[in-house]
Amino acid sequence: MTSEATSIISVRDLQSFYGRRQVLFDISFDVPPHCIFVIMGVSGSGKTTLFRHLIGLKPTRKNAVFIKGEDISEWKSSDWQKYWQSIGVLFQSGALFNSMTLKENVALPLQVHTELTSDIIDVMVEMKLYMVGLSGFSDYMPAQLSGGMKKRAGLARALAMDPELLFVDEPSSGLDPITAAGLDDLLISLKDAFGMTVIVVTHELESAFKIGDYMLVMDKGRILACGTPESVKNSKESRVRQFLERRAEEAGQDMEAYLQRLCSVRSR
Amino acid sequence: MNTSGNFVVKLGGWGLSKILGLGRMGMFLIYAINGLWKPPGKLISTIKHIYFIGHRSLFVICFTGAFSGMVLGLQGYYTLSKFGSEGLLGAAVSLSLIRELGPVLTALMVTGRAGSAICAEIGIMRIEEQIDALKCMAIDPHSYLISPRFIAGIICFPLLTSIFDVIGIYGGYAIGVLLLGANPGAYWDGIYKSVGWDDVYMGYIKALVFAVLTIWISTYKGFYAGVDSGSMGAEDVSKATTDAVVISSVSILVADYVITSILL
Amino acid sequence: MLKFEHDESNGGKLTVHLKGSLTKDNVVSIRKEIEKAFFEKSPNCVTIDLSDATSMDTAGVALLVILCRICKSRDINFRIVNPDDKVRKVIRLAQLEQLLLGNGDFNDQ
Repeated sequence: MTSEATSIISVRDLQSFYGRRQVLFDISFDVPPHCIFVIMGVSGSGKTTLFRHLIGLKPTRKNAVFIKGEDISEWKSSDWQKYWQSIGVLFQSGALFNSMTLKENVALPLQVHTELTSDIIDVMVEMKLYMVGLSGFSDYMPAQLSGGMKKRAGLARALAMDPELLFVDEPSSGLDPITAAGLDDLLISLKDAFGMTVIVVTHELESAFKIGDYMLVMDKGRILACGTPESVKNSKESRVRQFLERRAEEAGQDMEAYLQRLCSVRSR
Repeated sequence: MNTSGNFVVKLGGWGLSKILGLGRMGMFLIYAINGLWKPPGKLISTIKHIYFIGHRSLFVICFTGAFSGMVLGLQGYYTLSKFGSEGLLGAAVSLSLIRELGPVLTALMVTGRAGSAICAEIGIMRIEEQIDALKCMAIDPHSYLISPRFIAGIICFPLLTSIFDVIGIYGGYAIGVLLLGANPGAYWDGIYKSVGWDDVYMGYIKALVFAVLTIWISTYKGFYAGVDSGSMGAEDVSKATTDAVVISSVSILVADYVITSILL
Repeated sequence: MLKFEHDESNGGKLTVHLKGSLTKDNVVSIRKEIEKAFFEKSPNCVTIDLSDATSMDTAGVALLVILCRICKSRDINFRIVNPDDKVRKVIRLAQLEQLLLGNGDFNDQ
């Protein structure tokens, strides 16, 4: 795809564990700048774990993740602060602060990290809320919003600092098709207007193929396919085909283990 | 052999996890203190927490203070009258309150009311990824969430203790003097003659230590709710809240003994 | 960087040439300079020339909105001219073409 030198994010043989359970196996890929990179996979395939490594919420071993050519395992606290100021993150739940209004939520990073005056911040907040379709909701508390609205407000907050890199976890889940399409268009516009690099974790096929410049398909912690949407679409890998064609899991696949577990149930 | 081997492994694992937990707790306190000097500004959030920890605990502190003083007045009068020393009632009530009961009961009440709420609030922020979101906005969660609560706790605990002491002394007066007929002049004179700066100092030292303990344990338990189990569910928050109240209360009583034994 | 051109003969026309980037790192200082020029020169027409503006973020757009608002409140004619494609995209993303342009497109000089 792209070399390590030109890519904004490079991942090399990344492995990840929860306790003793390994959840990611030798993940390697590159994310070129100014593109929308979609990470796809079924539930439990390790997408969110990979996402957490990329945003620095899960420690990474040496020489596994490089951001703009720098090994993040060697970053000091000040490097992380700089990185976090240059990214925007939308979490799966929206992660809004319940004690603040939407306006306060979106304004928070601007108030903390910039010298901007309150009227400029107010205008910026209104703009961001308008972009995500929440104009007029600025004085609402998160508890007064639906799940989809919370997610959109979370996106507005992620965009507050006009980040260079935007990480979005499941943007369309829980949204109606019209709003989801609106968010897809917004992500494309953000890439065009600001030259943003957007990393999207999703399992919504339609949305992924609409917005993605590059794609990564994961299953059980491993990469099944990586490349342009066309190359992924033409993949011969059976699990990729099954995922793309939305075929249900074949019965009998783990039948032996299932039967063994049934036999080991103790009778009372 | 195998079973005993497993037991040793489990015991070792348990011991290690406890030591690591203590280390993490120590680091948590250091980060919170370090966070006092980091942005964002803490004035408004500290005022909010002073309102929550201090103002909203006032009723329960006044109520328990009054009844503690009343019961001391009652018991004190009953005991002292056996020796014909009712004149010492003021001294007995005030010294008990200022040196022991004031700081301890105030801390226990605030732990039950505000400590549990602080723990639950931060715990919910943890399981809803709000703490992760703060980190990803380059806002230090220790500085933003924990440090203002420490400042508020350190301001509120001594003030609440003072209010508890004063109301308790009036409660003792109401029962001992107004109800049971002890001499009012002797009551106030006893307080004036027996209570010295050392007693007040001891009470305030205790209040400050209890403030740090309560806020430290409550915020720490909330901050790491569900992190070790990895489940990040509602059950983790409820467990963290229970642990916060129990451990804070026990620590307050242990610290009370330690401080008294050092300062006496 | 800013350059001011004041044409008093034409009823007090102030042209502000913005050079370089207009982002959250410099909008506060740029605003101060522009407002100072407003007070000193009391123009009845303000033109923001973006021909040399290389990049803009939403803080830059917010500044333009605020300048537009200040001008409208003082009955000063306000125009933005010569934005390049990048800047145009950012203003379009914020859906503020109508407000900042009035006629739906930028007035070219």
